[in-house]
Amino acid sequence: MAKMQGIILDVYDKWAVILDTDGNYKKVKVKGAVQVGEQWNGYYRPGWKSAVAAIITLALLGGCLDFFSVVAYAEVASGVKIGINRWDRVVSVEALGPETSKYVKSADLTGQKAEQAVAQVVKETVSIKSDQAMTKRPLVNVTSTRADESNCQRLTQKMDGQIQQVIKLNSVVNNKPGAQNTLKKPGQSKQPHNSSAISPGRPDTKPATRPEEGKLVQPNAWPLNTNPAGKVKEKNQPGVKKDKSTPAVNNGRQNPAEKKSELSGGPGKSAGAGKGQQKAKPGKQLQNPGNEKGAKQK
Amino acid sequence: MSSPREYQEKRMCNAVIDYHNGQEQVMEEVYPELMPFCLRVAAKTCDRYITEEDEESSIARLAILETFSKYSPERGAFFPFLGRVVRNRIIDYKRREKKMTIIPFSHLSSQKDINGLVDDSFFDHIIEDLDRKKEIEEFKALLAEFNISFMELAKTSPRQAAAREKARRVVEIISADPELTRQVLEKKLLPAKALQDKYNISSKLLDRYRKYIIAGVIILTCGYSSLAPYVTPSGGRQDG
Repeated sequence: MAKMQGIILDVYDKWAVILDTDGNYKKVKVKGAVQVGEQWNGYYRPGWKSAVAAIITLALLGGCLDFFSVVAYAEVASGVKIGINRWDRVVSVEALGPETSKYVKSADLTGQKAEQAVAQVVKETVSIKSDQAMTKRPLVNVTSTRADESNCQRLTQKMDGQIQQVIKLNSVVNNKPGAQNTLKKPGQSKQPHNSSAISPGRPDTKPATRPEEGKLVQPNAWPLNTNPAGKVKEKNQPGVKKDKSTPAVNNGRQNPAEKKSELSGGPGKSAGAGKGQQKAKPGKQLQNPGNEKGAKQK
Repeated sequence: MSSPREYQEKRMCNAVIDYHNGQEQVMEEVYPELMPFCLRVAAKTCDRYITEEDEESSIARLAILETFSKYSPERGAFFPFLGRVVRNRIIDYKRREKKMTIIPFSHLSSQKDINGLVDDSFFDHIIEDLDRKKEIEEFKALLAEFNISFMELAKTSPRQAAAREKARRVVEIISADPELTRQVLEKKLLPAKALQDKYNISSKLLDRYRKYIIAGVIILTCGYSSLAPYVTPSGGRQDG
């Protein structure tokens, strides 16, 4: 604050107009009884409004930079890479292959919550088939740009619930006779028979095959059942109707002692330690439902 | 002391002498001149604005009567004497107020100690303030003829020091040229064309700070000595 001297020219309620020693007419706030003609000594803050405006601008700029800085990536097996900021919001969407480039252009995911966006991408781009020979590639791979793992774990836990619901919905849809689980693009309900579908983990497109009429599509159960002859308890699939005509699907109840940091994409947990068990990777992974092997087969 | 002050001091001494000689109507004639000074002293003593309706105003009137009764030129200047009498009576009144059982809420606020001794410079400053006030009131009336107010000057005066210095140079140029000054005072307009052609002053500067320049020309032309140091290009740091 700078000291200011001047002559009081006019007095209002709590304000006065002064003529200062620099020849400047100024409106100043006055305390106490002042009268016209008196000499005034006070202080003023030069350019405080500019300072306040600069602070607000910097704060907004900092907020924008913080919002658009990516702290984690969620890579969906279908070939969509989603950048997530510290507020768990989507800030970037990138197509990793030509198959998903059209989808990325048309889908408006920026600003959405990460778990919702990932679930939407999984729902609309991943073809969850009953094919047991699915690739072992995880459904969603979460990696963090920061050194700590807690961010990955937290994001994985958030996404787990949403992905589970998507898988359940797909399971219900696929249970209907003649149902076909194909690639769904925004605005489209079904794809034509000869269109290409992107299966999770398969970057190369292959024509989707329509299941034979009358043949039921296997429900999407987690983990993958390698022994279709065995009966399996389906306690973890409340939304799925038990179909006695279909081979039992291993519920794939996970052994809590062998719980991994990998996130499964369907009901139940990922398989425990065993042959073919995926090792924990730096990022957190949402497993493909067709990729899991049950720890116990019943 | 300035010449007007000396004249006023002499006039008051003569009025006191006449009052002692039995001409009591002399006090009625000088009363309007003395009252603003007494109110200022009361305001400075009480540290608040005093009006004619306040109790302190009636105490000031009694102090004037007492001064005329007791003053003589051997006791020094008239106005410092009058100021001390007014101040002492106000202090006595405040002391009597403190003894009252009812204490108003205004007493809870921190108040300046009014019992402190003051010297003659205290009253000299008050007299200077009153002289400045007269000049400012005349200046305000002249500005009103140009449709300019102090608030407008506060809004439109140049903020940048460089622009302010340029405007002050224009004020000096106009004030030094009688023809340009006459045009400003009579036509109530700035002689923009003459300034552009003769002194190469940009029209943008004249348009933007027109009111500031006109106010400066009025101050320098009409001889407001207390305000002139503030508008000259050299800059007045002290009151003239």
